[in-house]
Amino acid sequence: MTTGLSFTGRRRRRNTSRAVLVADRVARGLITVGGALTVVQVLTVMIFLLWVALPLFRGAHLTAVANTQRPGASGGSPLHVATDEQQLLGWEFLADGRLAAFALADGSPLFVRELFREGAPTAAAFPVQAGRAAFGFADGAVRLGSAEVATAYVPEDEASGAVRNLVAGAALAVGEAIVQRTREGQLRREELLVEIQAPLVPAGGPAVRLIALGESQAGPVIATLDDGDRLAVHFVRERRNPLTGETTAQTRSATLSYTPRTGAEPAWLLVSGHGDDVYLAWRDGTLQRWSLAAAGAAGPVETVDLTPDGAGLTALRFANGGVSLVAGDDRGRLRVWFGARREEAMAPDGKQLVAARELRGPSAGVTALGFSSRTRLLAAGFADGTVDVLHLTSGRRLARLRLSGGAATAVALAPKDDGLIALADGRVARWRLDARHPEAAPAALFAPVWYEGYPAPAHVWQSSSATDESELKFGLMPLVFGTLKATLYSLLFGVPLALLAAVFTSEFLSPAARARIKPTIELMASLPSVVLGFLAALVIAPVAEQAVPAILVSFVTVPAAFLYGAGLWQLLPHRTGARLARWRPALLALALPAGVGAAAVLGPFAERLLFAGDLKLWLDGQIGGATAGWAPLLLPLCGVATALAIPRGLSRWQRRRYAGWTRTRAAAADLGLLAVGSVAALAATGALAALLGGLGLDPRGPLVGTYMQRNSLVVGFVMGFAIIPIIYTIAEDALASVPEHLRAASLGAGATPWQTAVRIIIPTAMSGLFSAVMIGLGRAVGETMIVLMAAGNTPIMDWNVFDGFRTLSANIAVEMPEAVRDSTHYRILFLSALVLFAMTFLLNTVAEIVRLRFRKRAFEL
Amino acid sequence: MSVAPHCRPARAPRRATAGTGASLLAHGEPLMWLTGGALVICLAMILGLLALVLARGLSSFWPGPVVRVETARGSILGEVTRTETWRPDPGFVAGLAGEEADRARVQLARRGGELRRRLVRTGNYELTGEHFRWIADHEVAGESRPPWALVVERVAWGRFYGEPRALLVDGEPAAQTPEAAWRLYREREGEIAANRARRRRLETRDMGAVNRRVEAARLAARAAELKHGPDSPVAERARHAAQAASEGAEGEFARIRAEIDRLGAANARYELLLVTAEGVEKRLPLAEIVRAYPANRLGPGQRLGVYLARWGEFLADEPREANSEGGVFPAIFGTVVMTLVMSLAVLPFGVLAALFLREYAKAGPVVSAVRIAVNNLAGVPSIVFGVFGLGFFCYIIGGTLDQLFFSARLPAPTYGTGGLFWASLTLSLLTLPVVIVATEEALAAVPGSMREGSYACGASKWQTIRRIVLPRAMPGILTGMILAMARGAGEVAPLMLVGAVKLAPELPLDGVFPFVHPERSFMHLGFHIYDLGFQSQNSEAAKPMVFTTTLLLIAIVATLNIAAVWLRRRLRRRFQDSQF
Repeated sequence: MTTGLSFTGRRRRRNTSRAVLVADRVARGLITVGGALTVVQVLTVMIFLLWVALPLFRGAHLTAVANTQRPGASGGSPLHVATDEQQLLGWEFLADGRLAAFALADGSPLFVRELFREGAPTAAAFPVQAGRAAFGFADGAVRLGSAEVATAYVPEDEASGAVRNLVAGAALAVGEAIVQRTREGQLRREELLVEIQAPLVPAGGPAVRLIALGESQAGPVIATLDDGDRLAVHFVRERRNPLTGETTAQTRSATLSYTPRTGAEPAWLLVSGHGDDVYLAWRDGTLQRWSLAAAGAAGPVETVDLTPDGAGLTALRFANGGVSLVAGDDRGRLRVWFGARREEAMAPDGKQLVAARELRGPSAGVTALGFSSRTRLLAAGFADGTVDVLHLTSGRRLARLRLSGGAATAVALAPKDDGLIALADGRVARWRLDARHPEAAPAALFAPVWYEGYPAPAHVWQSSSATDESELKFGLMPLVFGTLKATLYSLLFGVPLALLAAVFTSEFLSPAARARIKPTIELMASLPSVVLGFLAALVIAPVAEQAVPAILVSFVTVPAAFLYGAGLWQLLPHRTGARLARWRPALLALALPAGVGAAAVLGPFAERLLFAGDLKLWLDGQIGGATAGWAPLLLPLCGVATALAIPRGLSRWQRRRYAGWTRTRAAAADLGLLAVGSVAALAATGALAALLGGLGLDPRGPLVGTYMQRNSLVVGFVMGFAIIPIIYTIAEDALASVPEHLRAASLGAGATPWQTAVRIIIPTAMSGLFSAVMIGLGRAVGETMIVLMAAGNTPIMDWNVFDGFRTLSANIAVEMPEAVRDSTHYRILFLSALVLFAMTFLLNTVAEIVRLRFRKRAFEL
Repeated sequence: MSVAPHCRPARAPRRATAGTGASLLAHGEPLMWLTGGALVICLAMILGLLALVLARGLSSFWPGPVVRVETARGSILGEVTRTETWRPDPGFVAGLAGEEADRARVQLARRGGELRRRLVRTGNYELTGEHFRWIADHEVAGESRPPWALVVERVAWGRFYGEPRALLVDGEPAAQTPEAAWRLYREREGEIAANRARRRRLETRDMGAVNRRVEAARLAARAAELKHGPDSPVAERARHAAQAASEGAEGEFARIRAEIDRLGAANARYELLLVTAEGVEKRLPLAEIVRAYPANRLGPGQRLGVYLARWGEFLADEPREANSEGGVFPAIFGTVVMTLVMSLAVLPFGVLAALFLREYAKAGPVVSAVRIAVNNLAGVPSIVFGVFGLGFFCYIIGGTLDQLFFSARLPAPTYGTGGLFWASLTLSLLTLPVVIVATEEALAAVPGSMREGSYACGASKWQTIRRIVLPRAMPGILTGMILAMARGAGEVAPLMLVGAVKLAPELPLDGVFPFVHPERSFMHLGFHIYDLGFQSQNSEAAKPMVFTTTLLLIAIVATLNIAAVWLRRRLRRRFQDSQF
């Protein structure tokens, strides 16, 4: 460009200056890089959401840390094994009444202690949730005991040389304790403190064969079965003396009626977490339940076979929370049972034991179960040496490993769910566990899950709980449902209004009026949604609550007012009508207050007639019958049906007859026809309602129900403010961009403006209208503030117009500030954001493609 | 531009069908009315809503009369805030005592089976435990407007209603009649307000400055420890400096506190003795009174004065009483600063992207796909951007910044949590499509002939863009930016995640070095509405504030939008004039 010949054949006299060239180069580079980066940044949003949400679906990760021989591990099978939060100490209760503590790093013993002077306990129980253990003895005594790790920080100058030389993370056994240097450089000393309480049930009875412990609100509940076949419950009330700090316990005992089965000894005795049920189970899978809550039932209230397929029971324990009972059998299956309140329950307390889930292990018997004390995580050891890490709620197997030394005799999860220890054959093996997000199986997120205590599998969202014991419920379906419900009801209201208004604006309004009215409605789009939400909740909802019947009636009277208005208008002589045509919009505007006024008058009347005088009580199901209630639901349907049927049946007759009549006569006939149609619609409604009511169908339930102040009706109306302007603008643009020559040709061929609009313009612009609705849909799906403020935010699945819901977007707004970074909850919220993103992006893309195609076609016409 | 046909029946084919009934059907009058009805409903919705906000927002600061209502259960004094009717249960009247039942029956007969009740703002929360009371008309035995009833707006505890009895100076009555007390109050008002303002300045600014010095020294010590190790001489010196600073601060604190106490004591000398409707006497220190006026003695001019003073307070002051009283200045400030920072971030990138797409990228399926994607981003729910902003800006980028530059403050996050800067960036992402689309349209509207003319004169591409295209497109770009600002100013959902808070003690711009604090969380008008309407404990008292805040927010957003429309119109006219 700088040199060479130009086409005139003369050499250019001056070269382009260097500065211009450099500026051009730099600008090109900058704009290309900056622009491309900006476009890429847009894609980052989606990729980032995906990047945060994806780890939800990865399994747990286990790393073997140690697998050591344990010197001095004497025989005696361990009854229970546990570790501390830092996983420095391990300890086991042995069947002979000793407690052995060892360093987890190398298995070296710290101490072995005889716990009881009176000899080995004959029965022991170590429930997950209680934090202490119960022991029964040959002389009938019952004691409670606990083992806790005490943490203290050692000053540097008091420590010995070997301890002082510890590097961060390393640990050393000092006497009976372990000292570790923390990452912050301090010395942390951990020591196991064991405490055995005085007997709660004094000695002097038959030997305790089985014992169980539960914790009610008042204190521990202990169940014992002794050699005299007496099944007893001991309720312990603990009182702490505020002056001395001593705890005194009072025990009240009760005997349950128990009939021993011949030939089979019971193998497990359990008390549920809150101390309201006692379970006794045999190796053949039989389980009997005594209810301590149901008065007057001394005998077992329920008997179940935990292994209906004839397998033998090999392990039975309560999971964290004491509600879910996990039964392992000799074929390697784990079944989760819990008491659910059900209609068909035979027991007097209304509960029935149900097998909610079955988790499959390898086909070898279950030998050991270990539970997390903060989540629903479970470790199970099997006879072939396999250890599975499972999650109870989602039913997911997170990890599997195989022990080298045979079947695990005891397994335990570390208190923070970050470690797993297994004892087998004199060895102790330890793994570091990264459970990640066990609750978030796809099935648990999107399919119904049978949660603890629920009568049936259900979709439930309950992302936080007061205690570690209750089960978290991450079912996204109620939120997806709420989103769809909000979208549906707002579209039902907004779409017809916006489309019809767009048709009127584009086809029947003078350009001057259109230039004023269109920006006014577009102004609606700029209203901040927080304003709409606030008005919906604090102004419209209370008003709507006062006037529900009138609002329902207005769905009929307002359209009717416009139709009758048109009928009256037609009665005007042709010439007068033509002269008054400028005033038609004003008359139109008058029909609205007429319709609203009629609704206000007829509302209370309809309430008396149809809803026994009080709509809210009727909705609640307290008064009134089903028949009349169908009317408001059916009337719009019948109205539309009549409006479609009458012209179809009569149009030929009308055309023939009207042609001979004067305009006014025809108009009068038309008005009469409208009146006949209204009556016919009312009659049809009445007949259908009577039919449905006669069939015993009640609208209360699926479609309508108890009235809540923050409900879908209000949200639908207010969301109209958000979606109407969008749909209206795009639809109006589509209608206006239909080529002018089509319109001119149609009018020129003698069609009226109405005929032109219906037969030419609307069909041509159809795809544009469709894309308008899709974009409105996208906006409704993602709207946050309105639903957050006006929808009540209860995550329920219910089509009731008069009830609220919780949408994905509102849920994010409510829960995101509280979600801990990188927790399961946090990632699930990211997942729901991703779902929202994908939904709207898809809707908008479809709309955009349809719109572009329409535009192309419109230009081709 | 297509022009819709002018619809008049008179224009329809007149010759053949005028006067006969057949044309009637062809005109589809009833269905046309239905479409018109839809438009009327839409218009009624928007106009009704605007009227409601305007009426409630403008009227809420107007000082109304104070009424004294005598009932069988004592008398109350207060302002009527609203009235409603309700339909009592059938057995309701039977359960009333003597006179009330009679009055209720009269009312029922007059109102066709309904009763009326009024919500009276009674204030005096520390005495009665409630701010508002419902009074049904049949409960009213007598009603009056006491001439000296005083409405007192206070620093704490909400409003107080009572009649002045005396003004006490040092506990001794200095004025014994309502009139004299009121006059004396008016005399002392200015001085006490000045004292209060000074005291507040001492408490916030001076104390804050000392606190900041101590904190800065502590942070320096911690930073030295982290950098050189806790035992190094540098850290040792820094620790000593911090120690010295905190000891030095003690003296300063004592001095400031003494000054505060002095001002407090000066103000505490004056007390207003009020008597409530129930006859309880209450001493109100003048220092606690923000504003007082004898509502029933005010002329229209004085009412207007109170009204304007309240607006002034609303626009310029900080909130009081859990945001339900006082002003919204921090929220206005936060909204404006956030929107400005957002536009600074969105404008260059939006224009770059649009220039790239329109002028530099080769047109093809990739560019149109990107264009569709950018368009669609405008339809992605704003809350999704909030989630992205929280995860990406606050946690990842902010967390990294904290690790690198603010490790002394950890674990307290500096940039690793929501703040003004992250909120602005999040919103700029949200409004980016608006700017890109508007700029692209503006670029496309520059006639190709002008570009060609420029090239023909020998200009390079960049010269053409800079001298010819961009100046022409500038109004369009500005329109896009203003629309983006309007969208950004009204958006709340993402802000809830990335830094809007109900009460921010410090503004993101102030006189303390480095003057701009983009990491601070901020107040926002939209979030203020949400918070007042939903999280407020005394939501009835907060209602006027919500309406005025709503009015303010709508006014800001509407002004921006109207500016955009005006600019767009000007732009079109200019192009129409100058096409060749």
